[in-house]
Amino acid sequence: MDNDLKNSERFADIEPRRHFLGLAAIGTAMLALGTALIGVLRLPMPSIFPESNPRVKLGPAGRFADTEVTSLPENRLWIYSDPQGLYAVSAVCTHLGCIVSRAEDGGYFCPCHGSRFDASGAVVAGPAPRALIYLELALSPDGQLVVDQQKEVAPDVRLTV
Amino acid sequence: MEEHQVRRLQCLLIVSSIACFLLLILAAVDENVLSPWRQHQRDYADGLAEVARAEGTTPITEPIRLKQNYLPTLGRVDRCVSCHLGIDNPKAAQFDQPLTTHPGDLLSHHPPDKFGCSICHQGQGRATVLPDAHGLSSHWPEPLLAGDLVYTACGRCHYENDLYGGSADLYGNARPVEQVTQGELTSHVPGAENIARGKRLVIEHGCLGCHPYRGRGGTLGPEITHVGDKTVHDFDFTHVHGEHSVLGWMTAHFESPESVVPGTLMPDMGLSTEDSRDLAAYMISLKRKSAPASYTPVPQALDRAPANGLDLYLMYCSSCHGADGVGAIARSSQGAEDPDLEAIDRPRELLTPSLRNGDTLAVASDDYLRYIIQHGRSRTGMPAWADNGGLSPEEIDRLVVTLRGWQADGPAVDSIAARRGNPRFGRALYRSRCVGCHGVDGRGGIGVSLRSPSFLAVASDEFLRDAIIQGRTNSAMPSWTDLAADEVSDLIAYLRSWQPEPPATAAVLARLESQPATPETLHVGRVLYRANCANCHGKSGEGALGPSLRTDEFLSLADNVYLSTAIVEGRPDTAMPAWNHLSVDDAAALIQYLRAWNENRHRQLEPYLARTDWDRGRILFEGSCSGCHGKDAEGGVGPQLANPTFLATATDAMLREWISFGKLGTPMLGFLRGQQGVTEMTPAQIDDVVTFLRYQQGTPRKVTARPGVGIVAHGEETYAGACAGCHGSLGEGGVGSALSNPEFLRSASDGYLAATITLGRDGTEMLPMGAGLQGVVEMNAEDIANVVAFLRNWEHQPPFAGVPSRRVMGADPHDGKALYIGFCAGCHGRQGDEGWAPELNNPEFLEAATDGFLQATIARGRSGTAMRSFGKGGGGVAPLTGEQIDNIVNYMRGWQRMSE
Amino acid sequence: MPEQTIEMAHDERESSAGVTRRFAENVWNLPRTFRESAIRHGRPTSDRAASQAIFTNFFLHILPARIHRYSLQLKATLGLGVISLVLFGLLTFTGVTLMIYYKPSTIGAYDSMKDIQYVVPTGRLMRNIHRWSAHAMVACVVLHMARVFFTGAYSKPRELNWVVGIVLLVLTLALSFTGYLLPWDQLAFWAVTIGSAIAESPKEVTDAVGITSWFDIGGMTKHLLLGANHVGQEALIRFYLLHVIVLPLVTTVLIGLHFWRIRKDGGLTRPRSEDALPDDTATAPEAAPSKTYGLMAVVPGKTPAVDRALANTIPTWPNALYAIGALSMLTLAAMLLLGYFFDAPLAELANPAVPENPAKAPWYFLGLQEMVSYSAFMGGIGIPTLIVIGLCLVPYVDRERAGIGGWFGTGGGKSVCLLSGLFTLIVTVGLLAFTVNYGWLRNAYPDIQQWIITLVNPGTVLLVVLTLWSAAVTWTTNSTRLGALALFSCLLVGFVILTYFATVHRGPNWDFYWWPSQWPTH
Repeated sequence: MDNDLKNSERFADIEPRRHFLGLAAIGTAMLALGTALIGVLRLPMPSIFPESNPRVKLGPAGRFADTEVTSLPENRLWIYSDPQGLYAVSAVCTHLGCIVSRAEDGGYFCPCHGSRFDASGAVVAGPAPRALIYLELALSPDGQLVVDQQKEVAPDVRLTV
Repeated sequence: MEEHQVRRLQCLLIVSSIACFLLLILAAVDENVLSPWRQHQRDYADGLAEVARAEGTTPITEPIRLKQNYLPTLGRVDRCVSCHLGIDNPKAAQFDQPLTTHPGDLLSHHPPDKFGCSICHQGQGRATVLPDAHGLSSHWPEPLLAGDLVYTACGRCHYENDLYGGSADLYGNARPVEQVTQGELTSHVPGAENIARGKRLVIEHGCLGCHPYRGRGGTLGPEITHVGDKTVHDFDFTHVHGEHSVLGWMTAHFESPESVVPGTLMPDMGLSTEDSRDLAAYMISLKRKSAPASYTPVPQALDRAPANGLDLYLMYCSSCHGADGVGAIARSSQGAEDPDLEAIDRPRELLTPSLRNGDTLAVASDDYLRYIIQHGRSRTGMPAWADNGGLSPEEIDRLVVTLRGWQADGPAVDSIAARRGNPRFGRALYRSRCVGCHGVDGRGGIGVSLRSPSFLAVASDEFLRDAIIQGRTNSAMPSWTDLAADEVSDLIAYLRSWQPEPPATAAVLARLESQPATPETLHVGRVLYRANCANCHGKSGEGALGPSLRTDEFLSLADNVYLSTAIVEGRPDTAMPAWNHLSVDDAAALIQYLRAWNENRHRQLEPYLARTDWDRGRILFEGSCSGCHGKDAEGGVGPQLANPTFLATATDAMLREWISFGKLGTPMLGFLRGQQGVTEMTPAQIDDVVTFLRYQQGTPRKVTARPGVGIVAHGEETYAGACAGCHGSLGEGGVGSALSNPEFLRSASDGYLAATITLGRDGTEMLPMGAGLQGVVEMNAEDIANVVAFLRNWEHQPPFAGVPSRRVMGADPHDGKALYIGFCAGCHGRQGDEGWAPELNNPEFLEAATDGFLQATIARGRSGTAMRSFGKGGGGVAPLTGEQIDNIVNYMRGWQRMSE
Repeated sequence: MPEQTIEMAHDERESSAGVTRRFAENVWNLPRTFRESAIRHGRPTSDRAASQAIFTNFFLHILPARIHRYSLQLKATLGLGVISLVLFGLLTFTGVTLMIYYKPSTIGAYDSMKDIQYVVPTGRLMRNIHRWSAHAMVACVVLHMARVFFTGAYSKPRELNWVVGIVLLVLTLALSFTGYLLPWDQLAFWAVTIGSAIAESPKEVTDAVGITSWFDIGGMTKHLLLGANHVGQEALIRFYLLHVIVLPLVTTVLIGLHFWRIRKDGGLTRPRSEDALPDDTATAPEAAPSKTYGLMAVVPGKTPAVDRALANTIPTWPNALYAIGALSMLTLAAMLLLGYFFDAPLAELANPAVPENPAKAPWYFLGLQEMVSYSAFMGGIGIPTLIVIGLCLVPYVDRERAGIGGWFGTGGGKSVCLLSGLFTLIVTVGLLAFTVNYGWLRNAYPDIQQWIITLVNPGTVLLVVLTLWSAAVTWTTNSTRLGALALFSCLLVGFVILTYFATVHRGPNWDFYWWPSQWPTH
């Protein structure tokens, strides 16, 4: 009982100053450490990726215009040419990024989870949430066909050569 | 007390925390706001905005973020584009660095997203702050290539800097080599001119003489094929005062090698600073091909321009032997009396002999030159160009031709013939040039004896001339191409002066008029005939090697003038010597003896001159006569007709007579219709032939090689039996002179050979072989003809070089050793290789050098080098006789034998 | 029975409404209950609470509940131990972050260093802090050892902790050295090449004895270290493994042991005088809760004895915590300062063809490298081993209790240290001067046996002289404590001098230069 009393007295007199300083000290320390933590968390977010330019030159455009469909496995896409012009269809499945393969009927199917797409790339079966992606095509000054593997375009866009 | 202690701690905590906080904020701001590349990107955006405003278009704004070209195939990541934003944007042309457009159209075929920047510009692709990115910090081996040095990087992919040409032109045309001598070697990429100059310097200064490039070149220096890959850390800058960069080091090094690399073998090429700098730039461009095949242009077949000999010389030889061919020793002492003194302290590798001096080339056969170039000289700087040097045989031949080109091409032949020489001048010349080998009195030493009547009697002026001008391969006889025309004729005149004056034809005729034949004179004539003529013309004049004399036609037609001239002057280039040691009486007696054969019956032909078409005559002659007399009437089975003395004395009438009715007792048949000649001619046609022959008198006579009349096989046997003993079974010479050398055979007529064999050569060991003469063996006419035919073989199949002559093999090596130690060891070292002078004891050299070469070099020394003349009477330091020289040579041959 | 159950079920059913209310309350109180479950007490308002705050906290309970006043004073420890710990933590932390980008392959390592330096966010700062902390840690650990020695803190009952400390020192050096190779630049490559050559140097002895053929301990260690004959990919991956897993683990465990021992050995040493009773024994010390006695009683060692110990002690919370916090933040600030203003060195890519000249080890090895330049084995292995063993033995040889806790003990300890330092200075400098001017035995007798060099070289001579000196001190003062002090200060000064000499006065080809500015370029 009186112990408690003693204690309360002992602490009472110095309470406010120590309290304030203590809070300030802890606060600033937390502030500093917090900032440091932010810096550290920033580190794993790469500011630049070890990847080559998404715009790839595929070769002289004429070559693609001649053949109806050209498969470019290393670029993961198909180049089609129809009377309106050229267009590129990405081979990356819209479900979980497997590589779809082309069926005889012109459609596509994904080996991983069995998504199926028709010739236009629209989903006909399986878990794929949306149609295959059409990629932007362009002509480089030296007449080469350039595809941007990160720019999507509407399915009806054609590059006229 | 603990309160204030605690408070102190708390304050400390606060202060330090705030410090940390501030520092962190500072770092964050620094990295995320102030980093230079961000500022550049802002400036770029502003610049583009302005441009757009000016054009009234809307600017495309890009987020501010690091940019890079990621090139896994090249193993590079180039972040240059984070600051150099406008390189592929024409709108940025007006901006300042680093934002401006890339100059030129290089980017169009080197797209940055495929090639990046650092493969051409070097520098540190991954860095994002200027000093590091440009590799200015001492810790980056590939600093940014500034100015025209950028073009040195093209070597990484392109083959342009291949010295032998390549796919396209850059640092100089694809076929530089011709262009060096033509003096135009231009860069086809603007800006790379200096590098092109550097490349040209490499070729001109013969850097490849010591430094191999792509497996071609000498072995003294380090290879330069990929020297451009060296970084600043591969060099020692202790002695370099200029900038400490690869370019700086190389420039200083090329300017004066010795001062940068003390004790280097690399000679000072006397390059200016600019030259050195260009050379360095070109060296830096010699990089290993560091790009994958998909990047490099398809290397077209390297069109190895067939370099002419001079270019080859410049590229490979000039660095040591000097562009002008005077060797290092000569160069080190500009025309000093004793050139060796300065040369002694030079490293052995650089003691390159002078090539541009007549006396080397005069005695060194093409085989010798070719051999030395191919196999080099071990333990000297001279590499084996055939093996390591990588020169093709054709190229080596071209080199040899080039070297030969430096030899003065002798005086004009006809001018020699035209002029009558002055023996007194000739004597002086002889003293200076010939005594070394032929002895003061011409009785011979190393060389053959010249002072023998029979020789001089048989040797025509043309023969002597050719011998002097062309020399004798495989013998010590040099080709004196440096002599002037009249000098040669003086020399010949001097030699001729050793011959007794021939009896004047007039005197002989006078004597014949004054005193008719008496039994005594006939007897004298008979003796003379038996002694001198019978061997060729037959005991009773029926003719053998020489034409038959005892025919009515001949004796009745040939007048005294004809006979006496024939006897006294002989028939040059036939077996008929000039019997000019006969006295007037002897000559007269001889003629009277001949005349006695047909009781002096004499037939006068009415004087007659053929004036008809010589050309038709030529055709007829070729058709009917050339079979025996040779195409140009130089003679064959039949005697030589195109012969001045003959034609001078034989009148047209005689000729017509002989052609019409032939010569009884000789194969010569009558060609007039009705005679039994192989063909039948009308008198007119015969006249044509006569005219043709006359015409031959005027034209300069060619002593061409002609098919031997004898049978080679038999000749070989006879030679082996009778001649090989002295002349060597290969004709390489021994006690006797070398026979198997083309020049000799080319200029020596069958007649000369036949006569020499028959009559021997007095004053030498060459004995007369003719039947009835006191020779070791007796040869009859066809034996001699066979031997001659056999000798002719060697004219067309030249003997190989370096057959030790038996004469030298016979010499005394012990005496030779003594002499060598005495006279040669001082410079060449006791074993022939410790001296400073070029070593002698290496097998390649000895194998290639003929005895003659060695003899001549010892006897006459070599101008332009420290080698002096040791020959007797050659003004040499030590008068060595021919035997002594032979001894030395034989001693040297001993080294060769040891190595085998 | 059955009816009972029925009743209970009935109750449940009856108060089902209550269930939902209680559930709602629980959810409502969830924040508070969770806090209570995590934090058992608020800010302590009494010593008892303060003590509880300490033991009930996993991280803090390594500390005693109450701590002696003396221990909190700067002069007691200079805070070196804590700073070393903080640095180790900092190193571990930055190290892990660097591992995110570092690729331990001869192809990728250097490039990843460049990426960390140029494009990784905060990468440059992280790397710099990592590098500087490493250096700082070595320095602090050495100084910490010196402090412990000079305050005689190694003596009973702390002998074992002293040994552990020495092992930690060695581990620190090993960590620093293994980390040195990872950037795969010239500096790293050649420093490690030398290091591995030193590892091989026992050959020197085995050769001398002539048993290398069947017992090549040097070669074995080298191959164990490099996995090859030369520094390459194998070596890199091994060093990486040692640096990021093996050594840190061992170090962490030993640090734990080290701290634990500190408490079990009765906290920090302090002069006996500090434990004197306050004048007025009358005023009973403030009563700690009775429970505490029991708890303390479990703790062996001399503190706290009932009725006396609590005098001169203060609660750890918050005093010690503030001290530790302040030290930590101070250290962090210092490291940030260094890291922000000074980039960690990174030379050009390792090039086995072009040796770095001079190839210098990190500064703390340069003393050794100087001795290595006389005899690889002695300098690199023999002498260090002897010293380490010797230091470990000190507490067992010197068992004097007088003057424990105070700096330099009692009775002229300070003067002995100064004298020894001076002596060492003279001897070392003299020896170096001699060696630089006249070379060593081999210069005099070119065909001398290697084993003689191995035995008699400046390094060994120095060691022997210093040992003799401290022995002399021991006999003259007939105090092992003073002898130990003499020996330690000799070694310390010697180490400093050699390090300085090798750092400043050794140039290319390990030649003597007055200043690095006189080095021939490249």
